[in-house]
Amino acid sequence: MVDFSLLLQPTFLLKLVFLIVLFLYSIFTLVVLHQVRVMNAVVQETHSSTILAIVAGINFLAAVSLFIYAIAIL
Amino acid sequence: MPDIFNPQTKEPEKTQEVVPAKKSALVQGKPKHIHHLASFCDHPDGVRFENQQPDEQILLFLRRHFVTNVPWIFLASILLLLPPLLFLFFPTFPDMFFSSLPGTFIRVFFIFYYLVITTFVIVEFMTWYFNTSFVTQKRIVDVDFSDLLYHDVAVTKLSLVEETNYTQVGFIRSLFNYGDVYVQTAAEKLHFDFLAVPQPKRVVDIVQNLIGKGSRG
Repeated sequence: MVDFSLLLQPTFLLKLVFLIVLFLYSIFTLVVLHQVRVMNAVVQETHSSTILAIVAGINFLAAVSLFIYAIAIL
Repeated sequence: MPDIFNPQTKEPEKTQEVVPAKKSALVQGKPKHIHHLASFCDHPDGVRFENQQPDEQILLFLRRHFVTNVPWIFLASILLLLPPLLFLFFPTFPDMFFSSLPGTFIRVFFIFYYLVITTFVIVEFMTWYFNTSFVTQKRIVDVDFSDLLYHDVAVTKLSLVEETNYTQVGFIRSLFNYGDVYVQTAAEKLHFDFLAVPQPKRVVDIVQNLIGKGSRG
């Protein structure tokens, strides 16, 4: 029989909140990356546009990594 | 007997476009390399915009003055330094807020906190970086980018520009020589506003010379 009392434990609920927030945050960083790529097509500067796209990409990867890390350790 | 009427063959009238000397000089400027955080550059080299025609040359590239970024840079710096300072000056701070939390949650929370600051910096930088204006020998292009999901590209021909003026109010603006340039047009979009751009007087002069309204000499 499944023990549902586990679901009502504060630590579990907190973990759930953390994971939901981190998931939404990862999507937000994906939107940022997408917007950087869209705007780089509108205004193109030789080097700066590439640097900004790389920084936004690293930020997205960091957010996804944190989400996966949180699933693993929380 | 003297001739009363002597028809003379007239030379055909010249129909070539008369290019004002200043406009010609403006168009034929030497290309300059644009550096990463440039706010004002005439004849920039290494920058293009969407739908730029092959024979279209950018005469003026504008962005908000870099000094307008100081408030968010200051805020981000404070947020970055806040946790270490709190730990340094209030050693009991972790116990007050995180005593009931397991260590793994605290670790994830702080990584998340710094990632949010990074995203805040990226979004603020994007808002400054992509809000650009271009003046070419044919038209004015105004790229607006705000709130991450909104961007608008407005274009008007130079022939539709009616009036340009600028305002430079306040100590900071006078000190760093930046202000707002307003371009009135007869096009669908009536106003082109270049806000907080460096050297507003020079911008107005350049646009007025391009439309043939500048002072001669």
